[in-house]
Amino acid sequence: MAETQTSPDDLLPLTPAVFHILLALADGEKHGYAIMQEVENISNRQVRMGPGTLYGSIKRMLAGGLIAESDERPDPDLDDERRRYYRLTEFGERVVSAEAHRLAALVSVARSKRLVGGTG
Amino acid sequence: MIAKNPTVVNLSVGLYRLLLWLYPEAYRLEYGPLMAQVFRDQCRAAYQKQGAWGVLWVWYPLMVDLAVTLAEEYRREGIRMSKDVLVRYTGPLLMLGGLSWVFASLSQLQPGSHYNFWGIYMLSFMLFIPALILCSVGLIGARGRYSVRLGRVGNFALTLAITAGIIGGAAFFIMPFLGEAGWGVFMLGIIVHFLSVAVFGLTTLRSRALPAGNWLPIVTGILPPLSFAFSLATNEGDAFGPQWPAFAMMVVVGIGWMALGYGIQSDKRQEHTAPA
Repeated sequence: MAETQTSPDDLLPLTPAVFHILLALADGEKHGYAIMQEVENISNRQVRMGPGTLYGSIKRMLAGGLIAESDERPDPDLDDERRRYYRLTEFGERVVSAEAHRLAALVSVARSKRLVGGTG
Repeated sequence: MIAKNPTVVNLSVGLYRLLLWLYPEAYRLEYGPLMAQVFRDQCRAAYQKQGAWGVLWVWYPLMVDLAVTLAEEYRREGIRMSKDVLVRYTGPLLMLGGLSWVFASLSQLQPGSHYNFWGIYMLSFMLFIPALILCSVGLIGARGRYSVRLGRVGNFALTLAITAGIIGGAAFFIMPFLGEAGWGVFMLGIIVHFLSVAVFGLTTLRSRALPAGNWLPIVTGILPPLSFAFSLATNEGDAFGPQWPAFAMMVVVGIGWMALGYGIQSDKRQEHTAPA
């Protein structure tokens, strides 16, 4: 499988869409619309995905082994229509963690240059 | 949770399902229903917050998302917007554009002043933009297909119609950044588009370039400017109440585009069965 041959670092930097989707799935499986809502929430409404961007990214993330399909079931908060749920794979967890560390390192540099509040 | 979808939501989702046909087939079969499902959820949430206006504003970023991801999916499939691909999709694009025209014509039935459209009438008015873009892109394939029979004037008119239609449609999306200049580009684009289609129609009447309905382009090209001029002349700048003549003319334009697309699509099938 590709994920056993590919190092997480080889996939960095992630696109904003991929990173946000992985972040959204970090705390549990979700269906497409729930991912979209979570991405809006965690980005403070600055990142809004359309259906094309969402499922284009999901397609590539499935192919890359970052996420996997979980099952299909209704979401009682929405309606009784079956929805496809996605979950983070172990490889996906390592990739999103690697990206988070990369971004944290960048923020640390920004802090040292007094571009962001807090001690450097 | 809304137990039954409002009409404006169902209308939006139905139109989006048609637009999903533009995606590559494999992608559309796998993800099309899921994308439509998510879009419906977006529309329902927007309707809960802001009514029909909310649903309308879901369309603006959606069209950008559609354009960007369409190009991305075709690029990844290794299919560039080649002449063959555009020729193959000429008929469906024109039919889809014509359908958008028909729905857009509903905006002319708004009661009250037409200085600003509201609610479902604004939603239908906004459909002029995808109608313009879809018909313009569909004409690219028509040019590729019939350029030999059209002659220099016909080809020039068609190229001008395509360019003006796409630029005018694109100007609408970036109008917030261009301000008044954007509105000018948009209006100029659609006027040049329609007049060029009318000139294209004159050449098809003369050259019989199309498989059927060679009179259709001149009808679809000349009626919108006539409708606009008629509205200006009779309403002195501010239409009030249902504009039945404008509605009827727009419906005719939409049906004209659909008939043209169907004729071209049929022509493609006949050529495939013709002996080598």
